[in-house]
Amino acid sequence: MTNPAPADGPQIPKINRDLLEPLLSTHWSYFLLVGALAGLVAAGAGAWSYQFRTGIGQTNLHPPVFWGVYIASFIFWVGASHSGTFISGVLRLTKAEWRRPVTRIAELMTFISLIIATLFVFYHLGRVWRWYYLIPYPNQREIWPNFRSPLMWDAMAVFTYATASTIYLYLPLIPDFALMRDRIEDWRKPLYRVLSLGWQGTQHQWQVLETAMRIITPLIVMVMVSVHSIVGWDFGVSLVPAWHSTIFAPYFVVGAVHSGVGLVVIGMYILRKVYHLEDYIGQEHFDKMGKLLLLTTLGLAYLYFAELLTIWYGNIPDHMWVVDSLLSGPFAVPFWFMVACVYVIPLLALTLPAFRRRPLGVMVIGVLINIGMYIERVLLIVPPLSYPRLPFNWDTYVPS
Amino acid sequence: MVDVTNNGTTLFALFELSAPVKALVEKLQQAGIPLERIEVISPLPLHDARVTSPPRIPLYALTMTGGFAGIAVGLFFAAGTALFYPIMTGGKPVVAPPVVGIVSFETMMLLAIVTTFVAMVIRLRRGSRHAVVRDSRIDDGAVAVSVQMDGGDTQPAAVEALLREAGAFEIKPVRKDRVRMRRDAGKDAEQEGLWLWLGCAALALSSITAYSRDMEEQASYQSQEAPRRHSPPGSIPLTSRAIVSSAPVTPDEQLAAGTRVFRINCVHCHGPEGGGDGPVAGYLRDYRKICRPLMSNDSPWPLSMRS
Repeated sequence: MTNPAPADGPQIPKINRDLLEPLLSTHWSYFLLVGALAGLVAAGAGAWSYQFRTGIGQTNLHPPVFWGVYIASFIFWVGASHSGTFISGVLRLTKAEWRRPVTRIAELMTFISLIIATLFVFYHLGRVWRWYYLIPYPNQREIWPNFRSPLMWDAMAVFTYATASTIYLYLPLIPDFALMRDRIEDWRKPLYRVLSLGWQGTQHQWQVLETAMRIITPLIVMVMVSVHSIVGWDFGVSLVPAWHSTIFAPYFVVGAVHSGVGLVVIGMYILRKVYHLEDYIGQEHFDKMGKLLLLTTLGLAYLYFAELLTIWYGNIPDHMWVVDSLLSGPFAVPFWFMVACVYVIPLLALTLPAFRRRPLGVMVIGVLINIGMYIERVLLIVPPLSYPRLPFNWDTYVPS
Repeated sequence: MVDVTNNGTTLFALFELSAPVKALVEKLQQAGIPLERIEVISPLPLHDARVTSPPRIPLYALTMTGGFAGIAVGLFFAAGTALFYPIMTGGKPVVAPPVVGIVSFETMMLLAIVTTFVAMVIRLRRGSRHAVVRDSRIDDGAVAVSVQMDGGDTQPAAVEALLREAGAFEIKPVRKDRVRMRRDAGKDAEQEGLWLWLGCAALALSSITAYSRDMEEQASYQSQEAPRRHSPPGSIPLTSRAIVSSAPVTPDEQLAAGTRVFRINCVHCHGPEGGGDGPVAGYLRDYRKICRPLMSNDSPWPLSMRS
C-alpha cells in the first residue's frame, strides 16, 4: 500500500480503507449494542422456554383464532426478506447502476429476515420438537408429509428461498473475503481464507463468478415471487371469508416488496450515519429508493382496493362481517392507522421531490411503512379468523 | 534489468487499471506463449478483455441439468410418494397436478441454484491452483499479468520488453518453488476448511440429539392425572359458592362478558344484533318462535352488543 497508487484509480485505496475501517477498529458502543441485543435474545429465549413448558395457549391463541402474531410475524419477515432479492436481483436484471451501494445491505437483510421468519415458524409450532416430521424421509413412524397441504409447499419454498438467498449473498462477497483475508491479520484470517475459496482475482475466476451470478439472479427472482405467492396461497386456498381470494398471491408479493424496500431504506440510513458512508450512500440513492417506494405504495394500494371492492360489492354477509369489522368495527383503529402509515403518508410525502432527497425523511417513511405493514399482516390474519361464520372474540398476548 | 535466465521462471508484472491488457495478451500469444500460461489478475472484472478460454462445460448446462433433476425429485415427492399411499385428503385427487407443479417448481429451483453454486465453487478452486502471487496492490487498483515460461522457444527478454511496452510499472520474476509454496498454503487452507465444516456438522448433530424422539417422552397429562390445571376464571367449584376469580363488576365489564357469552352461544341463530338473522336460524323449524323475543323492541339485548 506504500507504493504509488495507479493514476486512474486513486479512489480505490480510499474505498478499501473506508470500508474496512469498521472491521479493524471497534467502538465501545458496539459492545454496548451487543450486550443490549444479547439481553433481548435472553429474554426471548426465556419467553420461548416458558411457552415450551406451558404450551402455546400462553400466547392466547385459542379457537377459532389459531394463527396469530407469530404467523403475522412470519409473513412480515418473509416479506421483508424480499428486499434483498428485489433490490439486488430485479435491479441487477434491469441493469440499474445506482443500486450498487444498496445491494449488499439488501442482500444481508434478506438473509437475516429469512432467519427471523424461520424462527417464527418454530415459535408457532405447538410441539416444536416434532418439527422434523416435515422432512420427507423414510421413518419408523410411517408418517409421510402430505404434499397436498399448502403448509408443506410453504416449508419447501422457504427452504429453497433460504438456501438460494444465502448463496446469493455469498457469491459477490467472495472477492471481498479475499480482500479481508489479505488485509486482516488476526484470528479472523483463517475464517476469511476458508470463505474466500482461494480467490485470486484471475480472469478465469471472474468469468466463472459472473456467469454464476448471471444464472442465479433470474432464478432467485422467480423463487422470490413463488415464495410469497405460496404464503399467499396458504390463505387463498382456504375457505375462510376474506381469505378465499385470487388476489392474495400478487398482493402478498407486492406488499412484501413494499415493506422490504422500506426496511432497506432504514438500514441504509443507519449504516450511513454510524459508519460515515456519506460518500457511498448519497442523497440520490434515497431519492431513487423513494421513487421505488412510491411505486410499491401505488401498486399495493391498487391491489388492496381491488380486493376490498370485490368483497364489498359482492356483499356476502360472511365476508362483509370481516370488512365491516375493519372499516368501522373493533379493528377500525388499527386499520385506519395502517392505511395512514402504508398508503396515505408515503404517498403524500414521497411525491415531493424535495422530500425524497432528505435521508431522514425517507427513513421515517420506511419506519412508518414497516409498522403499517406489520399491522396489516396482523389484520389480515386475525379478523377473518375472528369471524368464522360464527363470530367470536379474541385478544392478543405478547410474551414478556 | 530483471534476471530471468532461469527457464522455470514466471514473470509477474503490475499495470494500471487502464492498461491495454487485451492487446498485451494478444501480443504475448503471438510471441508463442499459450493462453493457459498467461494469467491476468484484476480487482474488478475486465469486460473488454476476453483473456481466458471459455470453459469446456458451461455453467448453464449444469444449471439446466440440476433443474431437470429437481423436477424429477419434485415429481417423485409430490406425485410418486402420493401413489405409494393413495389416500384421498381434502377432496383432492391423489396426484393433484397443481400441487405437483408447485412442489416441482421449488425443487427445480433449489437444485438448479445449488448445482450452479457447487459447480462454481469447484471451478473457482481449480482456477486458483494455477494462480501465482497475491499482491496487495492489486486490490488497490492494479492489474497483474503473470507469464509462465517453461523453457521452449519463448524469450524471457522479449516477454519482458512486451510487458514494459504495455506500461508495466513493476516487473519481477517469481521462482517456481515460490509457486509451489503458495499451492501448499492452499492445501492448508483446505484442511482448515475441512475442520471448520466438520466442527459445524458435529455441532448440528449434537443439537439434533437434544430433541426427544418418542411420544412417550413428551410431557402430557391424562384428564384425571395430577397435576391438574386450575379451572378457568369465572368457574364455580362444586364444593363452595366461591367463584374462582373475581367476576366482572362494573356494568361495562358485565356487558362485555355478556357479549362474549352471547357471541359464543346465541349469535348463531339470533344474529350479531339480536335480529334473528344468524346464519343457522334459517335451518330451524321453529325459527319464529325462537327468535321473536330478541326481535321485539323491548328486547333485553341492546344494540350496543355488536361493539
